[in-house]
Amino acid sequence: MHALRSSVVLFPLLAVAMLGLSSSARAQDQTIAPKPLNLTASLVLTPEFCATVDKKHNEKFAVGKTACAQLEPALSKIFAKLTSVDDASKAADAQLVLEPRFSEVGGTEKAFAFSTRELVILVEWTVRDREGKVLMLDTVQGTGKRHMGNAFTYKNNLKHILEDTTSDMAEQSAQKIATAPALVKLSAAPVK
Amino acid sequence: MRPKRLSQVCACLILILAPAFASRQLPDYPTRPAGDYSIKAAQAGAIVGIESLDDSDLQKKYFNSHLTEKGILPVFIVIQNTSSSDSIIFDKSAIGLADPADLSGKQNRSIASKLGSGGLLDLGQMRDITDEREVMMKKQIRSKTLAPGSLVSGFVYVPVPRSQQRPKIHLQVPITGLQTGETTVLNLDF
Repeated sequence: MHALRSSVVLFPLLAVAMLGLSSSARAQDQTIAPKPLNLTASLVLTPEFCATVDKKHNEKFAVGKTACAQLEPALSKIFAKLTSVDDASKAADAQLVLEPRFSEVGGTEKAFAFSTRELVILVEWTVRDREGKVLMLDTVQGTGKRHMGNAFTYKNNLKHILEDTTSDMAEQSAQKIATAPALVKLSAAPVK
Repeated sequence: MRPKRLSQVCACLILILAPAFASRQLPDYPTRPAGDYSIKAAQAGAIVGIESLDDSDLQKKYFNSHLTEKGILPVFIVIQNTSSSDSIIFDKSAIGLADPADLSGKQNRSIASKLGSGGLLDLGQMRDITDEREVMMKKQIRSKTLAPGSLVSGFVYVPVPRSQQRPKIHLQVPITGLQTGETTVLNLDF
C-alpha cells in the first residue's frame, strides 16, 4: 500500500520532468528563409573535410560525413545554381567558390542518461570570387541538444545530436552567406 | 519520513536537478567599444582593444575555472571597423604572439603540448580538459568579415608559465581590407 502511494506521487512528477526536458532539448531557434542570391556557386567539399571525425575519450563524432550530406541541400536554396566539387581547382565556372573548414567541435559529457548534453560545431566559411579574391570570411555555429542516453539509447541519441547539430550549422550557414553584404551587392550587380 | 521514501524523493530530485545544473549558463563577458579599453591599437580603419583576465575570481565567474592555475591566460579582444565605407576581414587563425613565453619545465609540459599556430592555445588539442574546453570554445573570438561600424569580440587563450608571474605579452592582430586586400598588423603589449 505504501509503495503504491509512493509511486502515485513519484511517477507523475518524473513524467512532467521528462516532458520538460524533452521539449527543452529539441527547442531550436526559428530562422527566416533568406532571399536567394542571383549567383552561381561551387561548394568545395574536400575528402579531408568530409572525413573529419572529432574524437574525445571513447566518443567519435563523424561531423564531416554528416555535414557533407547536409550542406549541399541547404545551400542550393540560396543560389541560382550550386555545384559540389571535391577540389577548389574544379570550380572554375562558378561566380563564387565556397570553402568550409571545421574550426572547432566540442561536446559535453553527462553522467546521467536523462541529462541533456550539447554538441557545438564551429565552421569557418571562406567565399571567393572567380579571381580568388576573398569576399567573405565568417564563422557559423551549429548547436544540438539531446539526452545522453542509457546503454540502449546512447547510440541513437549520438546519431541524432550529430544530425541536429550539422543541420543547424547548415541552416545557419545558408542564412549567413545569403545575407553577406558583399555577396548581396554582387548578386544585385548587372550581368556583364 | 521513512528511509525508503526519503531515498525515492532524493533520486527523483537528482533526476530533475541534474540537467538544470548541467545547462547552467555562464555569463558573457561584457563588451565595450574597442576604443574604451586601456590597451588598444588603431590602424587602417580598425581599432583593437584588449583586456587580460588575470584575476582568478573573474576567470571563475566567466569560465567556471581558475585557468591561470592550468597555465592559461584568457585575453578578451574587441576588434572594431571604424571605416565608414570599407569592410575588413579578421582571420582568427592569423592572430599570434610575437615572442611566446618560455614553457620549459615539467609543470608546463601539459600546456606546452597544446600550442597552436602563433603560439596561442589550440583548443583542439585540449582533449583532457573537456569541461573548460567547451566553455572556452564558445567564448573564443571567431573569424569574421566586419562591415563598417561593426565589431567582433571574444577571447584568445595565451599559454603562461604556471606558478610564476606572467611575462609581458606581445599580441599581434592582423586585419585585411576587403577592397584593398592589404593586411595590417596591430601590435598590443600588456
